Amino acid sequence: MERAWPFALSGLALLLSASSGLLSTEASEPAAPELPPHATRIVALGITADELVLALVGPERIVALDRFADDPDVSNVVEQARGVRQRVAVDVEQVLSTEPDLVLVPAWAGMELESGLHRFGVATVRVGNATSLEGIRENIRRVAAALDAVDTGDVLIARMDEAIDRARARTRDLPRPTVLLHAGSGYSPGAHTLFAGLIEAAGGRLLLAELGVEGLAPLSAEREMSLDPDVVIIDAYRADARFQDIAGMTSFALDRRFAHTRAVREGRVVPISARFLLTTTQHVAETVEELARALHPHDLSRGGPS
Amino acid sequence: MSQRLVLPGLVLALAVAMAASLLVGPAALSASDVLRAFGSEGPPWIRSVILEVRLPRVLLAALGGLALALAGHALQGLFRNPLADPSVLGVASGATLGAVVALYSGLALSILLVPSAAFIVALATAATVYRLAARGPVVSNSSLVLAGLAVSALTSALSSLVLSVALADWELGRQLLSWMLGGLENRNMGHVWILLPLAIVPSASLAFYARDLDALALGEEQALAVGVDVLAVRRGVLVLSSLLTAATVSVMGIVPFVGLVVPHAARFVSGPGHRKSFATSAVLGALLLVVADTVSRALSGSIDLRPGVLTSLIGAPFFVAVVHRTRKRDEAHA
Repeated sequence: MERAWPFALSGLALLLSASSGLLSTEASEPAAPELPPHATRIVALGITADELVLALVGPERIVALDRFADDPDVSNVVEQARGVRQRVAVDVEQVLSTEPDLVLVPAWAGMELESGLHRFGVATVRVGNATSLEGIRENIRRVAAALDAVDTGDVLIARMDEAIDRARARTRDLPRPTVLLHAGSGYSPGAHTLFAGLIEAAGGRLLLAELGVEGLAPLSAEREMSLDPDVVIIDAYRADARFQDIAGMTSFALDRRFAHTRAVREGRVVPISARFLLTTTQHVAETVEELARALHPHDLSRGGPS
Repeated sequence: MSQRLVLPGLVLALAVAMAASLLVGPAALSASDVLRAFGSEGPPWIRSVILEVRLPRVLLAALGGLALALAGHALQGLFRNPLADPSVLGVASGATLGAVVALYSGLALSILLVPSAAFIVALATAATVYRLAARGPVVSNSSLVLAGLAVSALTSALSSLVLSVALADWELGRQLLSWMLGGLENRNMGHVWILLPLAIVPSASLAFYARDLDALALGEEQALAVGVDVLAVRRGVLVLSSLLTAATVSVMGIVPFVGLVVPHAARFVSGPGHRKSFATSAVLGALLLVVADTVSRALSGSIDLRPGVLTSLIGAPFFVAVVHRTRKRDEAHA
């Protein structure tokens, strides 16, 4: 007769696992601690949080920033970050070692990080990457409220909006070139993305958005050639020699496949620094400035309106 | 070293490795900090780091390594194939599919839901493989391996499909990729309590199949001749191995090569008898994953180094050596 005990024991182990998992205090979701009224030991995780926190509060209230804060390729706050000494990664242990009272957690971090911090009584605010200008405003308001810096947040939003409005006004009567973002990932933004809003503000027309492509979508070389935009924006990191050294790939302008596209022929393949393309904070105002100059090089000079 | 001292020596090495592992981490803590934390002394954050961050990680590495090594060992014995490992039944890829679907569906609201989804799909995958391979009460080894390959390919393709769709959302895509890479960061005692019964009970149960697997090593007919109920053994070993694999993968993702490499090392150290080599496998598996996780933490600075990378770096050359040795043996027999 077949032995039944392995199955019985396995069933018992399953029951034990489920009950011990469910009953353990660590597995049960700890309630999120209340936000401190005026946090003085803030930790920012992720470059978005770094950019927001450094704009909203003084460095004396920040104990640590994300380790990418000092990377000029992706960070818009390299200078300001020098006022904060410690750097941390998205890791419970590293964060706890700074003894924070509030942690700004990136939206891409797993649930375990936030749950772990809550267990130790540390309040958290989740900071997502905004997909629209309104999303950025909401993010700033939410983080500013958590940091007890509502007025500074309002000023930040007003300044961002003013800068974007200025760029929009300067390009309003200029011809609007068609644009594509050629990203190293093979994905390109379409409608309802932050990039679409920035291109519109900079006086351009995002081709994928006009074609009804929503969100971040795969963009093949073949499709890119057939769309043949007036301007191709590329990540400066991809355009410079380092990327070629690392990945052994040629940049867009040197890629023979794209030699006959309008953007290459007319010299309108424009590298933009990754720090402008990646930011989802108030620094998008600078991105709009950069894009406006890239789309209208003859009409706008670096110093201001032509 | 005397054979009798091998297992105690390995247990001692495991204890030392686990203790040393508690000293390694991004926060610079001394041995006295660790000791004070166990004595409920010292700053609260240090106690938290030791008892709630590092200790669960070390325990999970030990339990996961033990479970994967034993699952691989039992399957190699059952299939009489030195290249069999826990992935052979498609359980690991099934667990991955469960986890990525749970993450994609936004179910990662609780730390329990992703492991639960991974575990359920992993067991469903094992059951599917078994049903596909079964012909009445008879299940042949080759059918099981082929069914496992087919179902594994399907679940892997479905996971890739979910990932492809999710990559359009950078935040979600990153979470999925992180899970698929496997690892132990940010795990807590809740994960330990989930894995503990499912690692210990099936592992202990496998020991009762040691004699049957010894007989099976001589061939199914010989095993039948000495009274082994081959079908019952096959079913029992498959259920227990699947449980071990599903539980481990659902908590820490896929950690490759542990279930493939460790059984070979254990047989090399303790001989072919399953009773002794099972015990050696369990301790060696735990030791390998604890060391791999400790080294990955020590080396992690600007990059997020996963323990699976280290087990693969160790496992792949070992695997090549096994293939080379098998070929030489076959040539000698020819």
